Amino acid sequence: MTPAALEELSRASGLPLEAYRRSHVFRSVRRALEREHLIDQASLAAYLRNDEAACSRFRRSIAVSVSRMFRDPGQFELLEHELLPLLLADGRELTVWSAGCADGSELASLALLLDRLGAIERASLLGSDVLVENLVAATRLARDGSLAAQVRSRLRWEHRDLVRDGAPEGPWRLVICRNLAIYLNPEAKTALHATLAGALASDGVLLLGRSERLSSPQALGLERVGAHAYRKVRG
Amino acid sequence: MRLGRLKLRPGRPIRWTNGQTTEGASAVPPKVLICDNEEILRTLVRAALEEDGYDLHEARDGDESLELARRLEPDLIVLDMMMPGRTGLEVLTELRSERRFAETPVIMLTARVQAGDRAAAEKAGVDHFVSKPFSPVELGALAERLLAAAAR
Repeated sequence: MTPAALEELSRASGLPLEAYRRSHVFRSVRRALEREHLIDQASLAAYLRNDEAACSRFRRSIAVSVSRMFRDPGQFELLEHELLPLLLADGRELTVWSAGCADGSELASLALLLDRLGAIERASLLGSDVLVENLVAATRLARDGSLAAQVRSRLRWEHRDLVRDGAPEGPWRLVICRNLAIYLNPEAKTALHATLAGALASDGVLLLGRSERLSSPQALGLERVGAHAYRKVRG
Repeated sequence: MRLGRLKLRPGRPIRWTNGQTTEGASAVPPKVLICDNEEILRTLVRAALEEDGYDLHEARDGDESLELARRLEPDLIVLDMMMPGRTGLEVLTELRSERRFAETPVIMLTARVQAGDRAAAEKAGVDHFVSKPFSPVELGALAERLLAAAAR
């Protein structure tokens, strides 16, 4: 795929495709061609512009919308027994940013955990995602009566393209960014990690996905405190 | 009157919290006008309020906000403070100068605001400020409260 074709497709889909791993983009393009019965890549951009549903399917396949914390008991236990007690010990407000929050279920499950630990009243939780359809799902989740009101009312969502917009104004004492960097190319991944580290408060904790790790945490002012967790060293 | 968890659909009876229903009467859901130049924000406000069965309308800038407000006479206006062109504050000032909008509840959506802007907006007749990014639960509860108070 030529750089021009990639740029054309970025514009049509509204996603910065150049920041994603090439193999991941190619795979998504190939699947889109099969799914939409198109013959060549050139027709895909025009097709996405004219078909909102097809565009939404393509965007979802690029910005993978899967939230697996519920299905990742190991990380949940790490949060419950090690990271959260560390963060809650001093009685201060706990600000949490979920970067790439997908449908919000991960942040909602964290809110439930904070409620169980008696700390929901001093928690403020923000989820950001690049896909509007994810934020709509997250908003519906927050309004859904199946969670207790004091838990749901702590959840806020916003649209944010991490590659272009950087981090929301913090500082954040807990930043969760799981399984987003694995789809990015090396440069974008490095930039993302710098953004996440920069958003952390002093002593704040960054939690990555199970298969992710930072190549040089010290360079970002971080130290390892768990398998995929890092703490910002007091500056 | 509590509208919060009710789904108001034309022709469907409503059960009020006192057990009475509106069976036989045609219930008109409250009209809510969402004014924001950002489509994503309008979509998220809509998603936050859709469960409550309101009749939702959207305006994309200050001029359209005025036009739709005059045409629809909404029961509640959710207004972005920083719209380009005519700002939310200007829209509000103009609406409040018309008698029929003197009491219409207005929720002002704000980014980070200066104390001076806030004072000016309060003077212009804002009922409540909600800062962005907002909590869908809090926005929903606030809309419900303001509509209930206005209906009394």
